[in-house]
Amino acid sequence: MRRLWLIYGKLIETSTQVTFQYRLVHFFWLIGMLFEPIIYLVMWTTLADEQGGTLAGYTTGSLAGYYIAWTLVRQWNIALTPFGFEQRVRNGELNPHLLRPIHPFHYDLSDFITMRIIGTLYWIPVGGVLIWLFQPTFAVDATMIGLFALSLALSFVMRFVLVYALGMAVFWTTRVSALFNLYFAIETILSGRLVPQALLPSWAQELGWWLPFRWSFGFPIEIIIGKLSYAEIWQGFGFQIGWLIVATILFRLLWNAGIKRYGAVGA
Amino acid sequence: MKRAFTLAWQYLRLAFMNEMQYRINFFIQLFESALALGTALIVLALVYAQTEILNGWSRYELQALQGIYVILMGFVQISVQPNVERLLTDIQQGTFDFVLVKPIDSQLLSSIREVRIWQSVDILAGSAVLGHALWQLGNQIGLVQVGLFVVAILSGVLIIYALVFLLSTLAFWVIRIESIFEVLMGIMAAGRLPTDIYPRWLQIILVYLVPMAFAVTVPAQIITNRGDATALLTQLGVAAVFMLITRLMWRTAVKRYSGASA
Repeated sequence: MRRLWLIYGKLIETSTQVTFQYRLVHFFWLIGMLFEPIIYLVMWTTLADEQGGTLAGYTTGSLAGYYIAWTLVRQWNIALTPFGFEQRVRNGELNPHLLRPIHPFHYDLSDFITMRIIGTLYWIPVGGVLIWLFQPTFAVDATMIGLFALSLALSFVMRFVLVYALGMAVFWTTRVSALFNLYFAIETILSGRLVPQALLPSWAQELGWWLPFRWSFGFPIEIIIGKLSYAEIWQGFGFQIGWLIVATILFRLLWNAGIKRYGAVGA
Repeated sequence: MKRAFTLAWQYLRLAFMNEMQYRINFFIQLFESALALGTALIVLALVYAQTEILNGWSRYELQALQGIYVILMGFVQISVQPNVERLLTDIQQGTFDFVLVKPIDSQLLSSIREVRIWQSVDILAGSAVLGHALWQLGNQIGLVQVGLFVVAILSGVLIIYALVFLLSTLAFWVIRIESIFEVLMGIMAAGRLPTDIYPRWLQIILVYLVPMAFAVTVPAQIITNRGDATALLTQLGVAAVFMLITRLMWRTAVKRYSGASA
């Protein structure tokens, strides 16, 4: 375990140096991503305004809070997609990774952690401007911020492992992009990325409870805007950890079975 | 002018013949367009579950607007985007030489080389959404109106084309500009909603910098009987101005290009 920590430390250090070469690229990329939540935010606040200031328990202030927290959560919602993994398998880029003494997963996770940390640093000024523009309300006490940070970290790791495991399908067939797109479309709708849970029909909310999606997106947001009680927050952590365990088992099983089938294309 | 059309036609034919080898991609594209549209329609359903009118727009008026947005972005993905991607690669790798030595205008050639046939599914899907919305609205639509609508759509495509090419000329000065397009694509997504719903600062961007206000809204106005001649003429004027600026920029930019091995 100690060895693994040392490895992660070193890997994160190297990939920080690599990532910092492209500062402006990352910044523009962050700006480009802002418009999606702004569109949703404008749409729902307009509606809330027209209905006298509240909408399904959201005020215009908490809607603004929702979508501003959204921009930070979205940062931590980025994982190595099955498409990225497909490219590796198809082009034989996986080969050098397999020769190393450390599992490729660790390289990827440390790379993504680095990018997310740097992304968060870039996010700070942007988030400041958004807060000034849209006047949100947050639940800002130290405990909530701490719980938010914890749930954010868990949601990142949980989704990362889950999506990585999904990518293992590529070992069996490379024609699965339609399936992945369907998965991501459902995720967009049920995770809280498109709309807050409370605006979905009740059966969809019920369904979302048992699926991993909302625990990796809507859950941290709802903590920081003060929508959840402590009981609900602990329950949410339970779901996050549960899905993390499921995803890890799934990943191990699929990897072990898949790697035997891998024919090292391009070798 | 005739030569330009013949050439564009030949490129289109080539792309078509090439893509016919990969017919399964049609179904993949169909599925993906359906997913994207489905998501957009779900949002509309969720919004209008809460209200009848959003900022003065009824459900099917907004659906018509979104159909037009999808059609417009379909054109961008069929032609504008792949051509710009090719252009940027050419500039980075120095293969833009091959464009310059051909006996045809370099901007024209750079604008017609690539066609992604299967993306036209988006245009069909957008038209279906638009058609359904119009049928629900039950407005009388005359032939002239349809003609003006097509003009407005094409002029909207020209506006986006000019804007994208204007930005891509920056690549002659600074090489890595892909990330600027991320920002541009983000702003263009704001065309999904009528401009007047946005806060003031975003409206200014959508009118003067990235004129989605003209590109999407004017066709929507015409087809939903809200349009007038002034709106269409303004839109055509905006398109002309953007095309002119892009042309001037292109001429200046190409002079800066120094070739790969030079």
